[in-house]
Amino acid sequence: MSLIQKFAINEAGRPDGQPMLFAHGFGCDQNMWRFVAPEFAGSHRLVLFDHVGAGRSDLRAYDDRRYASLDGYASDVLEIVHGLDLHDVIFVGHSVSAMIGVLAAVREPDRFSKLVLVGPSPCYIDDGDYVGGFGRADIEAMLESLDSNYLGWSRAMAPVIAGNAERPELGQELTDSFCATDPDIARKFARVTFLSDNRADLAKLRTPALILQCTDDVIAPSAVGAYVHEHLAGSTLVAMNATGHCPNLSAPAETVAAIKAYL
Amino acid sequence: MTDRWVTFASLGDAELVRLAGEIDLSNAPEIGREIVRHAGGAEAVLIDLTAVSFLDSAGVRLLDGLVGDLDRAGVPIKLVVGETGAARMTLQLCAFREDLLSTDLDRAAKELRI
Amino acid sequence: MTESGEGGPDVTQDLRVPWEEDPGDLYEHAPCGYLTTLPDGTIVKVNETFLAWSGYERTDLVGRRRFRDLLGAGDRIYHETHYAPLLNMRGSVSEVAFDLIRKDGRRLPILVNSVLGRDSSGLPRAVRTTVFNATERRSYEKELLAARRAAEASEQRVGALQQVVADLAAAPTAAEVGDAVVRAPGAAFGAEGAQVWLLDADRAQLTLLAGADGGAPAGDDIPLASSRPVARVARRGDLHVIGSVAEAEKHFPELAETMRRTGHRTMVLLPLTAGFAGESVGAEVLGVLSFGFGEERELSDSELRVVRLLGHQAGQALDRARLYDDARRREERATFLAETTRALDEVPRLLPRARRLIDRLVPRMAEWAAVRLQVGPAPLLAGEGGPVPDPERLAQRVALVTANNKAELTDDGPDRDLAVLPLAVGGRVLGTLALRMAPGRPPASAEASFLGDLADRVALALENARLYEQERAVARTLQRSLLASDLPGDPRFAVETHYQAAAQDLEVGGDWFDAFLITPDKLAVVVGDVVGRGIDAATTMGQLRSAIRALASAEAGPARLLERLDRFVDRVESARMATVAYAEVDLSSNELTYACAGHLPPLLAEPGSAPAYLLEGRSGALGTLAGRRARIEHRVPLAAGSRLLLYTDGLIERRTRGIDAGFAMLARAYAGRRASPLPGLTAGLAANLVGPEHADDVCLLCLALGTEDRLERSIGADPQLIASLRADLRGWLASHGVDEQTAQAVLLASSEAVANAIEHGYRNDPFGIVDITTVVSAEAVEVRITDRGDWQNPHGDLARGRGLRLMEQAMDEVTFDRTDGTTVTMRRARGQR
Repeated sequence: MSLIQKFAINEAGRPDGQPMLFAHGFGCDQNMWRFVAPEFAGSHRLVLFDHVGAGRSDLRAYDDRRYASLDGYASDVLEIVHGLDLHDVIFVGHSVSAMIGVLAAVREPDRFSKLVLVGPSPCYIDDGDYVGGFGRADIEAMLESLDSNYLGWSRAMAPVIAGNAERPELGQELTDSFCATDPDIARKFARVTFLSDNRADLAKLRTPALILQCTDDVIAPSAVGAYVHEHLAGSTLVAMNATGHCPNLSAPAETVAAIKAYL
Repeated sequence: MTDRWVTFASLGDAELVRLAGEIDLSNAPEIGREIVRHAGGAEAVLIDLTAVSFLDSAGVRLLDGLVGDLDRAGVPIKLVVGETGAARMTLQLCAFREDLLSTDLDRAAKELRI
Repeated sequence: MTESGEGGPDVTQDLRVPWEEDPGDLYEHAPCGYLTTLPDGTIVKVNETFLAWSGYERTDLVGRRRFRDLLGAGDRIYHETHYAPLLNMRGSVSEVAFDLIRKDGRRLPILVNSVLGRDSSGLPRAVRTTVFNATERRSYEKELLAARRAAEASEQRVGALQQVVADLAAAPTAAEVGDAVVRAPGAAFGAEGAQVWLLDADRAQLTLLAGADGGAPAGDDIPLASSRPVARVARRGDLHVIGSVAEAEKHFPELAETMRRTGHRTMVLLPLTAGFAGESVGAEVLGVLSFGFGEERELSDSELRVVRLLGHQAGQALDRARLYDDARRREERATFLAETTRALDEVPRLLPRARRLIDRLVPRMAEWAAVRLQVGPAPLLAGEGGPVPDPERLAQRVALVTANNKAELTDDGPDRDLAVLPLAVGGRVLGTLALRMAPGRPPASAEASFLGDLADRVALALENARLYEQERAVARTLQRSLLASDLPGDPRFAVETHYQAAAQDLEVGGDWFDAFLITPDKLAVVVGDVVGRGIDAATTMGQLRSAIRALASAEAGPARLLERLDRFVDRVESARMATVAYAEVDLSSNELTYACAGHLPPLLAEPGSAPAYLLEGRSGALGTLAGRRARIEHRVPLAAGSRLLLYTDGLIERRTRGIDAGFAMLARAYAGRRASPLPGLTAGLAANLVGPEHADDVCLLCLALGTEDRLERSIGADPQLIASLRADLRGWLASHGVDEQTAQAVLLASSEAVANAIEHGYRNDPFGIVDITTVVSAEAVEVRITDRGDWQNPHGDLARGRGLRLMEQAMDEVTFDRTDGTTVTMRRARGQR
């Protein structure tokens, strides 16, 4: 399978521009960048992709062992960087992908010029003095919640999945499939996302990073953003007015402005 | 010593000398002496050469001398040789008298008595 | 539909809504809850139904709470990661399942539909949500889900177990059992990092049988006495479930470290036992299965049952595999011993036999092996494989084993598995076999009886090879000495022979050839074959050969000779049934008399006709009891230039073709070589007829009559020698088909010329030499006789004069050359005059 198919890669913008690589977070796919990415089309080369197991990526590429840790996803990012021969990459990662970007940039710092971390969290579970925002039980409850919506999901989404092979290009169906993931993979991704502890990796990062911290983000509370900022040498923290965990959807203008200001 | 080449027997009144094998320079003188010793007083001598496989000039000399001596003593002599063979060839080459030669022992014996 | 509700988060009263509001029952008491929220989720309007369901007062909610605040933590995450993005993307969301946390903390299962309203510029403005009580539906769904998941999990476990049982049934070896078992925990419980350890009771250690070694310290083997958890479980024989790293820390510090490295938070260590399920006491532990989980996990009773069942199934399969392995190994050993004995028999010589043994052992049985033999002054050594042990230590142990004639199967030193076995026959140690068993095989100490058997057989085979070698050397020497003696030859005949030993390393055969002159004019040629091989055959051959030489006489002839040989054989039993082809050639008459005692017929090639087998004169083998013992012979004249071939059966007998075909092939090959020179003829025939695979000795003798084109002789100045010269010349002339009259003339002239040279040229020189050269062509015979004597008046002597005259009369031309001594050249045309 080709790299393009494997990660459902879409490119836009100026082919000769500095590449911006957009990585979506847990629960979504690359469409979450639809209000943000176009704003950079005039100046940058835009590369959007779906993590394996999400969106329109090739589910056959999913491998339990490889994706048992965020390292597997970081390897994917590097695979894309090498496959498309990207240099000086501005990596824009949301939620769990923020940490995936950090891992990738730690491994191959030469390839990355800047990281934009939207709602990052190195560890979602409270651990001693560290406040991640969740207890282990919360994560189990979240998995329950995933399961609760599993029946409904399977009812609602089965036709979409069935028509997988012949999805039209962009359009309404695309947003229908948004968040539509194989429930089994979703559970596994959820585990990896919420049970990972990558706090130790923060100190290894040498790439400048922008941290976008929303107001009232229950997934990545402000304390976590502060922790990330504190442990990422040379990072910039921007506290946004936007609320929730997805400023790229709920407040795209503010998000774009913050990124442009940083770049 | 010379038994291989010469043996003696009597055929009626005649002394029969049988020669055999190869007679040449190496044995002819000795054979000659042997014949003289045995046939010295014979009334007639028959020399059978049919078993002679080779005869050289020394053998011819021996026979020649023998024939000469006996002729002088008036003792009849006949040489029996095959119609072919080494002895006949040599004797023919030396042009021995045809009356001395016979091809058959019995006939030769009869002729001697005439 | 438009919506008001802008007003900011400080609103504490119901907001005025822009549509024609009829604040009747329809809104407030609808069968579903209504909520209107700002895009960030802040509740701005809520109906009675929702308040009744949630137990909140309106004032608790409006402007104070976001919708997500009414959800549990898990739902909140789902809300943020799924609901909110989806709503933003699609503008609506339907039938999302949440649990509403009521004011009293109880949960109400709800289903939520939301629509996002946007203002004219497309920015989100408000969210309208309907909430349905899904208690019944959700409880039904939950039950359904729970039942389904339980069924799935159970089915998964049962399926996995069934798969394992099926795999185990088809797994005859421990390795295959390991492969089947190691897959089970993942399939049954979603566990990770499964490993199967096999207990090797002989070595008192655990060996990793299947599964990745999660970065364990170097080496795959764990001593049974080790403190590592796997070893402890193997010793104790009970199931260990370590629920957390902390728990591991308390009981198994080493395990805690491993768990941190592998990311496992729960570990299961399960003994694989051969006893029946439930019979845990005294059940024999055959191995250990370990696996982990990425999270802290408690195993349910039903899961534990499955785990234990897995342990018993795997244990029984291992037990079965062990018994099977034992049986297979026993059979393998027996086969190995039999095959090795056979393989060693194929190579009779000592060192190749030792090497063959090593080839058999390495690498199949042993990773390193060496045979050391104390034969002769220097030890013979054959070794292969590696790592090669420390030579000094090995030498010590070899010396010890050699001295005690007792195997040492283990060593106290670092090379623990290096075994040294004595190779002894009848209590005498010939050498040693040292080896280190191949990885995956039981150690030498566990194979003592097998290795003992092996050493016994090897010792016997090597001793036999040594004896063979010894005897073979003696026999070869004997055979060579017998066959090497000078064969006769003179102008009248020549003999060419060839002896070719079997290609395979066989013992010497009893084939022989011989040629000798019985009288100056009678040549005997013999080819014979004594039954059997080895030193006895060689000795018997020698005896028969001598007997024939002794018994042959000018008068006897072949048949009489064979009769005498029969009597000889009656006394020399080993010569019985020997076969002989015996021929006498009268060189003066060129007459052949032959007899064959059970031997293949001679092959005669006469000039101008095809080779023919001499099939007469046949009788049984020497000393035959059943065969015809009346000895007969047959007489054939030989034309000059004839070639007679005697041979042994190795030349024509092949397992792959009939004897008739062999005869035909030989006749063809022989005919094809008629014009070939005699030297090399027999070797050429052997090469032609005997392929690379010649399993038997081959012996050939070819007799050629009158073969020289040019006769050259030198004789001393002795009248006695003229006769032998004449004999040579006569045979030579005959062999060239010179007619009788011409031959006699040449003989006469030559004799006269030589006699002249002796009597005149060398009259004062008894040591003078006369050279005679004779050439024959199709038309004439030419003779040249040379002396270096001092002639005086050659014509003076009457008698010599007669000689000269004879020469001139016998020949066509006679010329004298007296430049250097005297050379008489004479020529006579062939044929009658």
